[in-house]
Amino acid sequence: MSQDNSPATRLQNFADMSATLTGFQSSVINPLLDPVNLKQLYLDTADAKAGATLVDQLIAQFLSLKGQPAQTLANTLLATNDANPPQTALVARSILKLWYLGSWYPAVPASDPTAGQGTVVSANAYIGGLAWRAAQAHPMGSSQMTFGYWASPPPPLDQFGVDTSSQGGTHG
Amino acid sequence: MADQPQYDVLIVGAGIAGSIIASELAAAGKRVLILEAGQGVPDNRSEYMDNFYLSNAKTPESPYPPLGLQPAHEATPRPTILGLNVWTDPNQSYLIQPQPETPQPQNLPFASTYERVGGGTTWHWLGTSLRLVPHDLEMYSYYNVFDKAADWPIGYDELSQLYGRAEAEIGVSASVAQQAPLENAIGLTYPPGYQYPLNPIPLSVVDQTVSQGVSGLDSPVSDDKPVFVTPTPAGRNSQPYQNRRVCAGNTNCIPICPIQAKYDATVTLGKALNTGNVTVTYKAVVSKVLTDANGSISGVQYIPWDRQVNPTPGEVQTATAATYVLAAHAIEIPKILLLSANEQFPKGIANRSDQVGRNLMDHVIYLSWALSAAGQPVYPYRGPLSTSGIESLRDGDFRRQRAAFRMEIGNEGWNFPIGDPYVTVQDFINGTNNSRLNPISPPSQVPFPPPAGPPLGGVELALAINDRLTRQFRIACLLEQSPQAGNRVTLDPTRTDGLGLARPKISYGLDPYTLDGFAAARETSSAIYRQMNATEFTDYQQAQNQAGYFEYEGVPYVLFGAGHVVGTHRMGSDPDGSVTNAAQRSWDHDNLWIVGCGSFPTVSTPNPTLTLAALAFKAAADIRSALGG
Repeated sequence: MSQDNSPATRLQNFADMSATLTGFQSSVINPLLDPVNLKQLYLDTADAKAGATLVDQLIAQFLSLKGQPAQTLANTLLATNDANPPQTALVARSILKLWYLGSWYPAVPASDPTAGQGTVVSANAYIGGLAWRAAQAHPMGSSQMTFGYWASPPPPLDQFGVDTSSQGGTHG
Repeated sequence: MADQPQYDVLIVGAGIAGSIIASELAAAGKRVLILEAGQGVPDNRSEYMDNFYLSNAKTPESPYPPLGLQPAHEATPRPTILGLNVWTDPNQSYLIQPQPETPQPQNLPFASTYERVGGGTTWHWLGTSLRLVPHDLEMYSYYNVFDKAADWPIGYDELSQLYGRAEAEIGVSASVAQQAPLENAIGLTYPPGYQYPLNPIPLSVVDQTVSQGVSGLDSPVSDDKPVFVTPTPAGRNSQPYQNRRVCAGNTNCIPICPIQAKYDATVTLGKALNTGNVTVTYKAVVSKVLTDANGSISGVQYIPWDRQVNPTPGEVQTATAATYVLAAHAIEIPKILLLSANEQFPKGIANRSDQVGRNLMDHVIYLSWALSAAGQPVYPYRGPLSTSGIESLRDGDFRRQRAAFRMEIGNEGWNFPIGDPYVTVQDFINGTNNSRLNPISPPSQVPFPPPAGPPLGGVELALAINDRLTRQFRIACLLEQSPQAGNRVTLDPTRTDGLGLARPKISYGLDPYTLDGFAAARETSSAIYRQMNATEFTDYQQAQNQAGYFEYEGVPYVLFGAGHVVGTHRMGSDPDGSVTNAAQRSWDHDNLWIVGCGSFPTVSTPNPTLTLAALAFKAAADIRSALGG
């Protein structure tokens, strides 16, 4: 299948795929004003670490399945039911870890001894890690909150950018 | 006049003790020279913050130089957590620690670390500012444990007054009224009418949950003492203070507060420098303390350096003053004193008692962790790293038999226990179960290795991570360790740093008194989790290869360090059993003071910075008096 591979389109597709993989709203992954531009950094990182060919294969797979429910699509890309996931799925998992943790982990099976050896991509990547949002928290060492906020429960999860609409409920 | 030295006081070390003494004496018009081994205080903390953000392992040392693990080639190497992981390898570990035949409690790695930069280790202290209680000062005479030298040579009333000064300097946020229940429990009292300088720090949701959850619980092992949560007095701003901001709850006191809402010694150092009476020389590593024919200190030699890695050592310099203060940290001080051995003092400076380097102690930590009940999140990873603790078990008759402990409640989820959020997030993406949270597999119910759930992605991943991370909490028990002569710092002349100075060699282990404290800490922690209906996940069964692993009475443990390095130049009432008197003045050299937590005869249970700061004020007054005026 032919694919429009202009840099802008490729980046847009990567961002759309990232929203699906992460379960976060596009406004978090690809905000209208995006001076930090993690999506570009992460696409460049994936290209450099895993090879643009595999990344393109993954994006092509994403585009071919677009229209399916987001959860189904994410499961397919990540090969969540496959004991021996294909290389594209391992790359998808590394991209997913990049978004959640701000570090690149090698695109290898979990049993590989190097699988857990992450490298922080940049200070902004650390700060932008989605894991902190999923915890309804903030990155350790980067709080935009005010004194005493910790004495009360945080706002509900959807306000941290998780796309809970597709689940029909929020976990407050 | 020509014979008078240029300086009244020469201070080795620009950490909290040295900075307080410099500030006090400079304010009194004394001329002060500070020699600091490490690099200076940066103009702002962005460089240290970037080091932290970019570190793959966000260890306490991660923001600070040197960033590598090559102690033989660095100007100011120091112990690190990454070095602890390779503690028997002198090529990577600054401290020389021989490999034991088998891991056992009598021979363990010394697990604590410190920094060698302007401002010292307060860059990554937690801010906890607890006072000792009266019985802490009289472990021998009241509880009849250890020996006579374990009694502090200072009374509680005097110490209470000094605490007030230290709390004002640090800017401690707390409320006497909130601490009041500890008077009955452990004998904590304040001078009449005393108030802390800043309002208390609010309790986190974690704290509130534990506090409610332990309601009605009596300790199963500590003379049925009540278990209750107390807000922790902290050197972190609840109001603007000393031109610094209020805490924004960065959950990052260790390794670094991004906004200096937490006090560090650069505050006091800056105050000292602003007097105009203080000169500080950075990158000046003291190699020797010199004596004259009378046995007085006549100068110190230091080595200037240019760059941290593969430094070119400069020509050895000599600096002199009327009085001398060693404030270089409890491992660096004995190193300097032992390096300074000469014909007149063959055992080293200030070491007639042979106590220099001995009685090395730490708050050894028993760490446990749990998940709150399903549907009852506690929302960790928010607020300062720790805002409360269980202090009610810090004193009691049980101290005749075993170590007491305080229980520090953490606000950083399972970051300390397992390295989260990293481990759990990877588990859910990989379909592994190193965290035991994919699926929830408590070690008491699911033997190793626990089964793993499938990989997740999309919203299912976000929700799973949300459920697990928001329910995590941990308790760290800080145990008082016995003073033991054999736990000591010596020198290894065959292993040097980048300037050619011998590095510290450590012998270290735990005795039954401390080990029985570990067992009590474990039982108490588990009782708390049960009382709260939380599910405990503490598990050291698979930790055999971890530094600090040991077994005691058939139970596996891992020892963690608290960074509270104590005892190596203890003060006392008897010159034969101690290194200094109560003012931290050397028994052997009339113009030498040796300060910092190395002066503590016992470690007790409170984090030591507040007490060492209080004692620094006493030393400063004594030096001022010795100088006249």
